[in-house]
Amino acid sequence: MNVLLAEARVPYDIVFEMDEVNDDFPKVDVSVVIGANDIVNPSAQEEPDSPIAGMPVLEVWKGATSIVLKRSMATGYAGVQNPLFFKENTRMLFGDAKETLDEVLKAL
Amino acid sequence: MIPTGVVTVSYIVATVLFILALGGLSNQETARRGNWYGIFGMAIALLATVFSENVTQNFGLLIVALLIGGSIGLVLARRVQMTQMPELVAVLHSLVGLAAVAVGFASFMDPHKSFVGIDLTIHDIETYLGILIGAVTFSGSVIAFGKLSGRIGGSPMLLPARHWMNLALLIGAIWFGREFVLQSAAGGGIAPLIIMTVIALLFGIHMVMAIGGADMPVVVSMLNSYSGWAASATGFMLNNDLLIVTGALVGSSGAILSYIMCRAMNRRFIAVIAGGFGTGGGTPASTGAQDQGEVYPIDPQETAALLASAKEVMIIPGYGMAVARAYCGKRASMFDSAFTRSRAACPAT
Repeated sequence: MNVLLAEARVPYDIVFEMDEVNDDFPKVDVSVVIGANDIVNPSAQEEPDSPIAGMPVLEVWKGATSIVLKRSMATGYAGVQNPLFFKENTRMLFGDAKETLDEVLKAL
Repeated sequence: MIPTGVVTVSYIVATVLFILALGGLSNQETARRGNWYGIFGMAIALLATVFSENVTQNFGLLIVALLIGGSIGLVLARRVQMTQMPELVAVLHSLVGLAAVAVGFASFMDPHKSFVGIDLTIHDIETYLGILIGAVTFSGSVIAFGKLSGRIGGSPMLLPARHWMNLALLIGAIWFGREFVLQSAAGGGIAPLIIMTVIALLFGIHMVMAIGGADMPVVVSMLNSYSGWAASATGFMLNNDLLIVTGALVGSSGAILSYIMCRAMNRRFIAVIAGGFGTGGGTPASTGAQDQGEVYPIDPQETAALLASAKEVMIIPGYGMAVARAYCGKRASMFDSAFTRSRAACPAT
């Protein structure tokens, strides 16, 4: 991921590790999740029986709104359903992330 | 041909470059530079080795081999998607393992070797270890590749009494090792060597077959570590310092990476190293297909509106972003747009 972000010329000073930002999510207005799944799965914290129970995750659901870019409702690498997608404050932006992002940028 | 001293110095330079490469890759700011350190280090190491005194002067053959290997690597790396990286890595590890096995057998059958007494025993043990780790790495990586690319089912294959089978295979490998050293001293030894290779191949297959699909990335990282130790054993066998050091670097960094990944996935490290993990806590998602209610779809225009009114934006890129290649060119402009504060949170990948 480090190499990818460097290739895309993302400025270094706006990239943070999970530990650095997790406390800030309650202050966040919009989280944009681009093709990440297991790493934002609340069941890691809420369901002790889940295969990923105890795995550190980004607590995006604590923000005001989450927008998830995804092609379908398929599960992630761990093969578990993600309750984040069904939360009241989550919006799903289906489609190929490259095309949908293009349209988002055009509309901005 | 270049003198031994120059070769040694080149090896030290290459080693330092490899360490800088590993250090560089740990941080986004230095990741690209780290890649280049690695490329230069490997180029220096290859050149120094090819032109050293220990190597045959038959440059025609060497260049043909380099060209074949190099072009296969280039084609593979060009064709492979960023997201198929784990598969590519698994294939490369299988080659490392195969090379260690081939070098081990060649070294054992070398008619010019002049070891006697304790030296012969030490060399034999090095050869045996090199082939053992190499064969486990080879068959394990082939199975890992099969599982990652979907050619082999991802669910763990659990044979009854599999831990006892592993133990039996391990004891068998040790016993044949003793046989091999004894017989080698008497001039033979090829039979136990071949039997052990078969045992090691079976062990590698069995170990990775027992691991579930979701845990494969950790397995690849673990095989990475094994391939490093195989290279290191080969280095001892060939008296090549660079191979020893590089193998140890790969071996330990692979082990550390496995450890970090285990911690990130809340798995126990010992269970991974022993193989057969992803079975205890990993009952495959029973909640998988359950309907959990409605999702709220949104279109790009609404997304833009939401973003435009937001003050704090967090962007979480993941594996899927790499699949869609959505990072190409788009990302930078997105970050530049007029958000008061936009940040990206990076999962440790």
